[in-house]
Amino acid sequence: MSKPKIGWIVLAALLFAFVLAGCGGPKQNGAGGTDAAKQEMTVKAYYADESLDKLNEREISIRFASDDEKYRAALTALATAPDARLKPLAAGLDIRSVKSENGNVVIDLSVKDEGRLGSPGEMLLIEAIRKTMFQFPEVKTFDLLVDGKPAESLMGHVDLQHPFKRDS
Amino acid sequence: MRTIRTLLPFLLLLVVFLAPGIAQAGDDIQLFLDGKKLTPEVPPRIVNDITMVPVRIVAENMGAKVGWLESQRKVTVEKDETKIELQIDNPNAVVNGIAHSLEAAPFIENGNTMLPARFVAEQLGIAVLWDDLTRSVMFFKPVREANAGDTPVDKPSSKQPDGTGSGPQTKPIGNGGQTGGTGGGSQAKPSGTDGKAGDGGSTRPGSGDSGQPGKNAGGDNGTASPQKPGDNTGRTATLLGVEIREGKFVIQTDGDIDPSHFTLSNPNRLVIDLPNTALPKSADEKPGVREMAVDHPLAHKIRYAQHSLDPAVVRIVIDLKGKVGYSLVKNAKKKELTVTLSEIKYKIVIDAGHGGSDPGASSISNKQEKDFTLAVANKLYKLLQETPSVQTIMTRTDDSYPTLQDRVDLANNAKADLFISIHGNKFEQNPAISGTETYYYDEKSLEFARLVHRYVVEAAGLPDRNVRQANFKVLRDTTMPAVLLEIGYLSNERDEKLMLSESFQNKVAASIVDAIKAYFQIT
Repeated sequence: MSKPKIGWIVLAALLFAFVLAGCGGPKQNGAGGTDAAKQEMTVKAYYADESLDKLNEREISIRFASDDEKYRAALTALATAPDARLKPLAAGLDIRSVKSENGNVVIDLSVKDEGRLGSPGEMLLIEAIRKTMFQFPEVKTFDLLVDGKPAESLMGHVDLQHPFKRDS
Repeated sequence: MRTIRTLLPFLLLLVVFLAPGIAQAGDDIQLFLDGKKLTPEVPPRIVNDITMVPVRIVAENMGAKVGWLESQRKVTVEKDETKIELQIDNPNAVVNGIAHSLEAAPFIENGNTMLPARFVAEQLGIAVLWDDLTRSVMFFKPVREANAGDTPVDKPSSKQPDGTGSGPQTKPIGNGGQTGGTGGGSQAKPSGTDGKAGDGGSTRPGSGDSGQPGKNAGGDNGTASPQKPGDNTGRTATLLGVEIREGKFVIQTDGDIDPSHFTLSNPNRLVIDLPNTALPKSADEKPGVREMAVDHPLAHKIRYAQHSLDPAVVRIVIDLKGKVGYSLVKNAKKKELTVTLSEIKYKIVIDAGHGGSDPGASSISNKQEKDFTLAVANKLYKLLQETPSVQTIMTRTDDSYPTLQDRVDLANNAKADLFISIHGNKFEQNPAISGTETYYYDEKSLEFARLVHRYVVEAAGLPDRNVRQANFKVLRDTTMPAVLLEIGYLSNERDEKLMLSESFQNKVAASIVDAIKAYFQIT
């Protein structure tokens, strides 16, 4: 009867490794997390060039205590450009909430009236969000809601997919 | 050349209520009281060519007191000094003690007592008209009771989205494509009398059977009061005649008339309402529809009738052989209206970006993109009216928000030949960006995109920011060549100032029209 025993040991080892790695540790979730509990990570973020022709990629550092915080931090980074020659696209968005489950992320936004972009800006913004979210290998889909609802479009040019999927 | 002018007095009379001989079961008759649609709980019925309406219409809408004497199966209708006594299945009635014979006896259907509409209404002093166009019975209360203020205006109305006001003596007052209508049921009320643009009225695309919200939009809700201050002092003009002159329909009156006009489908027809107008006295005694066949490549016949009495409106209907375009030109000096019919060759959807709940971009001086796009779109619409071979379909003509899907559906369902979306750009993170961009999605749109871009860049005089490919919904999901024009940047000081000016908007609109004409080789 040694087979099951080996199985248990493997499982326990895996669990232990998991906890050590701190992946998705539920205890670190929530607003109560202290700085010490946060981890730092370098992620890619995307900005328009000065002439609003294309996206530029930059690596930035974010701190977070959970996956949801990680996504939020990455998206928040899109609102502020790291240098003056890059132009942020997401300054007109407020992130109301970010929730994920099994790799499906739901991002609830609101759009500031004065933050609405023209069509090229909206196109680049959606592409920036897409690239930002799908850089995380665990993200299978993400859904952009506007004021809690699956809106047809953020700013009236590009239609939102509900949800956005990889390679679609 | 065929003249109907002299035929007015003796044109074949289709007297009210005789037409319903053709009525079939299920052929709904509509009822209107002072232009307001009535919804009886059982539909009106036609018996021996007489329209029968449920007694409740008489009681509730005509304001009469209705009594029922079960033992004699007798209905009494009382109002003011008038007492009408009717009996179920009895073709005789008594009015104030005097016997009258009825063309159809009252009867009971599904528990509803049905009374002959015209007989009862007229005894109560209510004028009755049969409108064969829409298969409607129109009741009009006596003047002192009519409340012009609250006569709601049912669509459609043909107000221009952009008012013409009082213009030069000969001015185009519109043109239409066709068939914005709602099939049979549209009941047009005489609209305002001053030719100014109405607004209000929602313009959701797809509400018409072939989608022409622009034509029906701008309903003049709230402008129904027949006489406005300073408006001709309320004089009623007379329709003198209608004749065909060199293939054009010329309507002669003795007054300055600003007609409203629209088209309906099934069957296709052009409706022209002349406000503050009456038929000549001699023809006035029996309200009815006069009609006359015409020899015209695009029209079968022309009809007219005193459409309403208060306010006085004459309705002229041209029965069309198919969908046609038209233009209507007024010559105030000659007191003539000239209607030109022409074959429609191209349908073009003009999409004013954003609207309603979606303001679009806000400009430097805090103006909204949706107002800019609408202003340009309306100017474009107006200019295109001068090209009758083009039918213009507007996704919106007021501050409403058709969804992107609505806009796509409108164009696809209309099988439009071209889709042009008007936008204003913004990128305040770099206010130095200035210029015109034209977007397209696929190959079929590229030729027009390049063409219109060249015209607009030249007219706008802003930097050329190129024709660009983009996956915008209105471009991707429309089935015809489609472009989205970002005329300029509302976040740029110079662009914004220009974009908010009338002259710039006019120039840009004209350049788009030129591009359309060049594309379709319209001369």
